[in-house]
Amino acid sequence: MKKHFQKILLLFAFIFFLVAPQVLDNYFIYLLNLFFIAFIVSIGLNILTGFAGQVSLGQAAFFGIGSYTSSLCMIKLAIPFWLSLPLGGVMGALISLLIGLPALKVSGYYLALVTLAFNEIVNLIMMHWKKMTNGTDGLNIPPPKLGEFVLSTDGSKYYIIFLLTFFLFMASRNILRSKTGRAFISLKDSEVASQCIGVNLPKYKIIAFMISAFYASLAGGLHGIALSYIHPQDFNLFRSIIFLMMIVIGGLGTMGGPFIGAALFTLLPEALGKFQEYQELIYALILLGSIIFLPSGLIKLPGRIRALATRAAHKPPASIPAA
Amino acid sequence: MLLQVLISGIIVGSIYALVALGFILIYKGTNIMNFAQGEMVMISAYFGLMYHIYYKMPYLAAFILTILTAGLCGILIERIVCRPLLKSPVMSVIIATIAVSIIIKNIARLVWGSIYYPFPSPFSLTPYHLGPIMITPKDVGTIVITLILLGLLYYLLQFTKIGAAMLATASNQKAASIVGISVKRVFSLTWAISFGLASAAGFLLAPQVSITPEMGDIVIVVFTAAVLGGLESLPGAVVGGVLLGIVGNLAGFYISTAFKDVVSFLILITILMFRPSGLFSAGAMRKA
Repeated sequence: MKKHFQKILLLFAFIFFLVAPQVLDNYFIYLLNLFFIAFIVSIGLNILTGFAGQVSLGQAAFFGIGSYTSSLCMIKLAIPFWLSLPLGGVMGALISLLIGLPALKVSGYYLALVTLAFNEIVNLIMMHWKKMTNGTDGLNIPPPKLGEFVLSTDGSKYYIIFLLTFFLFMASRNILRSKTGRAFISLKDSEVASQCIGVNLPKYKIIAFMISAFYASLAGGLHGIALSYIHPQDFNLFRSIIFLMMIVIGGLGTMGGPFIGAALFTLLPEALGKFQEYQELIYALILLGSIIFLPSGLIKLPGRIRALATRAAHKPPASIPAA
Repeated sequence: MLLQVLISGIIVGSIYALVALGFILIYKGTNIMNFAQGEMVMISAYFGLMYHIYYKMPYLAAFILTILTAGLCGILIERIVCRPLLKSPVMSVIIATIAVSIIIKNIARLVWGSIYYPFPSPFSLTPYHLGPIMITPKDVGTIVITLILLGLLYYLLQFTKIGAAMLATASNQKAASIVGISVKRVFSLTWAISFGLASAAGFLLAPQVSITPEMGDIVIVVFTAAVLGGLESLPGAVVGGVLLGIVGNLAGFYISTAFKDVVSFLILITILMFRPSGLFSAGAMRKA
C-alpha cells in the first residue's frame, strides 16, 4: 500500500514538474532551477550524512569545485557542455578522496573540523588563484550549447536540470536499496557491528564520500549554468552550513527530507524580501529551533502531531470520580 | 627581525591560548565541541567597547564586567541550547553550536554594523628597545594579564573544591554524580568560565586588531591550537596556542598574509590525519 502510494506520488511529481514551465513565468522557472540544484546537493549530502552518518561541513567546496571545473572546461578548453558537466562531477569525486581518506581515521567532531578546514582552503584558493578563477571578480559563464541548440533562457535550462535531477534522485533511491546502501546504514548504526558482519568499512566510507561529492559537483556545474555567473562567495562555509541545514530541517536519512529542506531554503530568501538583512539570523534561529524541538525533521512533523493527538485522546481523566 | 616576529607571535599566541583553553574546558568537561567560541571573543570585544567607551568605565571595571557578562551568556547558552541536546547525536550538537555562532555574529552585525571600531589599550604604545627587538608596554600587559588568568585557572582547578568537582565530572560524569556533585551545575560553571576566558581574550585582542563582526574568525586558529595540543590537555592548549601564533606570524612575514590562514588550515588537516591525539601524546590513536 505504502509502496504504491510512493510510486503514485512520484509519478504525479514528475508530470507536475514536466508541465510546470509551460504555465509558470520566468521568475518561477528560475526559482525551480535553483531548487533542483539545491535538491541534488542535499540528496548527495543526505547519503553521506543522513544514511552513512558522516558529518560534512565541506559540501560547498565540492559544489564550487564542480562549478569551476565545468565552467573553466567550457570557457578555456572549449569542451562541449554535455562533457564538461560530468567532468566537473568526476573532478569533485576525485578530490573527495583527499577528504575521504582522513575520514577513515576520524569521525564525529574531528571529521567536522577536517571538512570545515577543507572548505576554507578551497575557498581561499578560489579567491586567490586569480589567473584561473578570476578571483573575487567572479566568472561569467556563456550560455551552454547542446549541438546547435543554445540554452540561453531559464525555460530551456529547466528541462536539462529537471531531467538530471530526476535521474539522480532515482539513482540515489536505487543505491540506497542496494547492498551499498545497506552497508551505509549499518555503518551509521554501529561501525564496530558492521565490521563484524563483514562490511568493508574503509571502502564504503570512501564510496559515500565520492557519491556525495559527485552529486554536489554536478549540481555546481548546473549552478554555473543557471546563474551564468559564479563567485567564490557562492561556495563559502556558510553555504556548506545551509546544505547541512536543508537535510537536518527536512529530515535526516529520509528520501523526502532533502526535498522539503531544499524547497524551504530556496523559497525562504524570496519570502524574506526586504528582511534580507536578517536572513542569516532567521536561518540560524529556525535551525536551532528545529534541532531542539523537531530533531527528526519536518518530514516527521505529521507523525509527531498524530502521536501527540493520540496521546491527548487516550489521556486518562484528570480526576478519578469517587466511588 | 626574526626575533621580533617570534616575540609578536608569542603575544598573539598567548591570546589564542586563552581561547583554546576555554574551548578545551567545554570539550573535556561537557563533551561538546563549541563552534561558537570565536564569536564569543568577538561579541566580548563589543561588550568591552560598550562598557569602556560608551559608559566611560575605567579599564579594569570594564574588563571585569565584560568577563561577567560573557560568563552569563555562557550559562544561558548551556541552559537553552546544550542541555536539551545532552543525549543527542554529535551531529545535532555541532549544528546547534554553529547556529549559535551565526546568531551571535548577526546580532553583532545588526547592532554595531560592519564598521571598524578602534579599541584603546590602557598601556602606552611607546616601545622599549631591548637590543634588536622592540617591545611595547601593551605587549607586556597582554602577556602579564594572560599569565594572571592562567594562574587563576590553575589555582581554581587544582586547589579548590569547585575545580575538583569540574575535573571529576570531566573524567566520569556518572561517578561524579554518585559522589554528590551536581553535574548540571558544573556544566553551567564550565561554560561560564570558558566564556569568561574567551571574553578576556577578546578584550586583549581588540587593541591589536580593530573590532569587527568578523573577529570571530579566529575560531579556526583556536581549533588548530586545541587540536595541536591534543584537545584534551589544558597545558597542550597553551603550548598549541603559542606555537600557532608563532607559525602564523612566520608564515605571514615570510610568505604572505593571505597564506596565514591556509597554513593553519593545513596544520589542522595534517594533525587530524596523522596525529589526531595531538603533538604531545605518546602515540597516534583513532578519535571519534
